[in-house]
Amino acid sequence: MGSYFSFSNGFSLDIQAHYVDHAKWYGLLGNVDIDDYFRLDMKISQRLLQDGVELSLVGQNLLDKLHPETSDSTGTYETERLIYGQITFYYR
Amino acid sequence: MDIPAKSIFKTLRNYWVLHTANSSAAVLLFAAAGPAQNCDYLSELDLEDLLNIEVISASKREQRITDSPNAIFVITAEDIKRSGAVFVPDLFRMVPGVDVVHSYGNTYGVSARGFNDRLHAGCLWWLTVKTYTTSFRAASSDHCSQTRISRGN
Repeated sequence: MGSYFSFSNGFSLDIQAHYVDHAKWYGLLGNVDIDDYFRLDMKISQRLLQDGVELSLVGQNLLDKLHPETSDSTGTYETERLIYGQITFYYR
Repeated sequence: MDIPAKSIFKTLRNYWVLHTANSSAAVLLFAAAGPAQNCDYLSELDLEDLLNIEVISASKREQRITDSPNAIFVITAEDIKRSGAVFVPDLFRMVPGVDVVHSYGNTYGVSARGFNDRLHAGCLWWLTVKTYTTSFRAASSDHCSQTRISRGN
């Protein structure tokens, strides 16, 4: 489920939400149950200088600091929250 | 109405199969073109025009998405830009029927059918790019201007 908003002053807000049900993963070290989880990704950006520059801030996996999505024979690793900034230059 | 997407597809040239799979397995097609395109026009299209978006992934020739012989989901350049996804598999989270799991680092499992797994081998990846040297899993979504997913061939 996602939603995109663009405002006339060059600001935009983009949200995506996902729900993933619980799952059982079969590994060499035994079965691992992965709980269901919600995942929320968000991006805010502002365009400047006649749309020549875009400043963005992106947050992924905002609801959890850490959560596992899968498990295999090498172990169970957790997906981390990710927040990053980005500057994009457009030239035509 | 003239849909600029047409011109994007004309720029698609080289198909590289990065990961082949058993032909009976689920097939996932992935195509990306070089430079990012301005896709603001997509928000101005009405429903009928959106249905007339042309794709080439299913039959290797241009055809309307509604004439395609299998279910295709198009992730537009606008979707890619607004998703903020760093890695291409993160884009597939928005596709109905596709299961994406992040194992660790740049390692993902993507499955359209059956059980998913790290390094899942049930998918066929087609990359259409101008200059591309890295592996699919590490592919940055910055390199894509459009992605098409075809579930089940």
